[in-house]
Amino acid sequence: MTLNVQMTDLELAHACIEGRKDTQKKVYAQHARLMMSICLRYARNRQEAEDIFQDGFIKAFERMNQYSGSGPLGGWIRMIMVNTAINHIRANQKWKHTEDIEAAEKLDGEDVGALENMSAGELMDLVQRMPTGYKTVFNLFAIEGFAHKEIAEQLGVTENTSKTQFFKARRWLKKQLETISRTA
Amino acid sequence: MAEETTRNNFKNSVKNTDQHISEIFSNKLSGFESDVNPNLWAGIESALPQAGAGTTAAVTGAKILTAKTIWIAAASVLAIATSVYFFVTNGELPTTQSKPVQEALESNLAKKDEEVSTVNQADISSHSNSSSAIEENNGSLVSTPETGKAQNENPSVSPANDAGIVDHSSDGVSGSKPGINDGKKTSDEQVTTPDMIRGGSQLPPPPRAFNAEFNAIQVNEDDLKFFFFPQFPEEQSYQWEIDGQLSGTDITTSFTFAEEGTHEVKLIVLNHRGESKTFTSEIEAYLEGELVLQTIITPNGDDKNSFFNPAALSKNVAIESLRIVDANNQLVHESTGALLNWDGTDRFGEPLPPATYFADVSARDHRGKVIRKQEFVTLRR
Repeated sequence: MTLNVQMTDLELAHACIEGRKDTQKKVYAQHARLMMSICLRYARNRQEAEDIFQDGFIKAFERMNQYSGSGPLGGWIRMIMVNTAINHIRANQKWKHTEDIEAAEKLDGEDVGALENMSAGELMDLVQRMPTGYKTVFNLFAIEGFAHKEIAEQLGVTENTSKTQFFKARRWLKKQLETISRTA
Repeated sequence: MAEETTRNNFKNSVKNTDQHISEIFSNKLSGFESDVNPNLWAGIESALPQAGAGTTAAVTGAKILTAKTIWIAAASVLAIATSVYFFVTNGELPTTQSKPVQEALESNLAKKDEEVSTVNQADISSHSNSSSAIEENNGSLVSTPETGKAQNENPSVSPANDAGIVDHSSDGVSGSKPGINDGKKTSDEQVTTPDMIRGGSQLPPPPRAFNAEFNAIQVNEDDLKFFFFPQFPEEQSYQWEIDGQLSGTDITTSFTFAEEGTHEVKLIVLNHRGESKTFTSEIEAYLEGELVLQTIITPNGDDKNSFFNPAALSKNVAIESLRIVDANNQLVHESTGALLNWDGTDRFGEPLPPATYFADVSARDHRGKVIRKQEFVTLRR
C-alpha cells in the first residue's frame, strides 16, 4: 500500500533514526557519490577522503534527529560532510598566518576562458591537486559559496588569511593553466 | 588620482574574475559525483545505532577498541557503573535506579530463596539489556566537541527511548570525551521518586560470577593517555596497578604512559563476599604515526623548500623508501637507506625541469606498521 508512496526526506530521516537498516542504506546510496566528490575535493588523498566520508556519514546518521525537514536531506548531509572535512583538516594542519598579498596576480580573460572549456572532471582534478594550504579556502569560497568572513570563523583564522589563501589558490591555478596551455 | 583609479579598476576586475572563477567551479563541481569504494558502507553501518540490536558493551579480555564505538560503550558502562556504585557504597538499595536495573534487582530479590549459589544469569543479562538500551539512545548523543552544544539544544526525539535512562545518561555523556567523567555527578543529582524506593535494604546482594577483565581505550591519538574500565563495574572494590605501580582505586582509571611500548596493566577486583579476582593485560601504547608529504619544492638555492623531505613534516614514523616518477611514469629518483630526500635532480644528479612529479613514500610507524602514501609534487625553480 505504501509502496507507491515516495517517502519525504523527513520520513526517511525518521526511519533512519529508528534504526531501519534498509532506509539507512537507501539514504546512503542516494547521496554517497556526491558526498565522495566533496570529500575528494577537501582531502589530500583518497584515503583521507574516505576517512572523512565515513566519519561524515556516521555523524549524519547519529544526528539525524536534528534534521528539521526544512530543506532537502541531501543538503543537510552535505553541510555535515563539509564540516567534517574542515574539522579533519583543521585537526591536521597548522594554519600559517601569512601577510596580506598586496598585488595579487589576476587571471586574465584567456585563463578564465581556458577554465570554462574544461570539463567537470578536469576541474575536479585541478582542485584535488591544489596544495592543501589553500585548497580548503578555495573549496569553501569558490564552490560552497561562503564569504571570507564566514570561512575565517569556521577555520579559526583571520579574514585576511582566508583572502590570502584564495589569492594563492588563484595564483596556483594560473600557473597550472600556463603549464597546461604550454603542453597542449 | 589617476593611480588611485587604476588601482580601483584593478581591484574590481580582480573581484569580477574571482566571481567568474567561482561560478565556473561552482557550476561544474557542486553537483559533481565520484565513484565510491563499495567497502565503505560496511564501516559506516557497523557504527550506526540499530533498532533492537542487543550488543553489549562488554568485550572479553582487555581489548583496545576503536574510537567510534568506544565512547558509546564506555558511556553505557559508566552509566551503570555509577548508578550501581552508589548503590554499593551507600549499602542500601538504589533510590533512583532506572527501570531495567530496578527490575533486575527485583528479580534478584525474588530469586534469592530459590537458588542462591548459582550464577544469576538474569541479573547479568538484565544489566546487559539496560546497557544496550543506553547505547541505542545515545547513538545520537555521543558527539564531537564542536557540535556538542547544538546537541544539547535539540531534544532527542529517539523513538527507541523507552528505558527512561536517556535523560540521566545524556547529561553525563553528551558533549564530548571529557564529559564522560561527569557521569558520577549526574547520578548525584538524580531525583528520587517515592515509588522507586523499595524496602529490604538489609538483604545482602546475591552472589554472582565476576572477573577482573577490563577494557582499555586510547583517549587521543597523539598522546599516550589511556582510559580503563572493568567489565564488572558493580563489585565492592577495585585496584589498578600499572607497570607495578598502584594507579588508582576507583572503578575506572586513566593513565598517561611516559613511554611508548608494551605496558602491564593489572586490575584486582574484590566482590561483596570478599572474593578477589585479578586480571593482567599487556597494553600496547604507541603514538599514531602520520606521514605528511610536501606538495611543492623550489630548489633554487634560497635554502627554502630545497628538498622533498618526508621526514621533516611527518610524525612518529621512520621513512623507508622514496620514489619519484615524472608525468610519463618514468622513475626519476629513488632513495633507500639513510638519506631519504629528493633535491629535484634526476638519477644522475642533473636538475629536472619544473613540472608536476609524483612521489611514492613508504614509512613505518613505531608499532612497525607500514604506512604508504603518494602525492603530487610540484617542482618549481
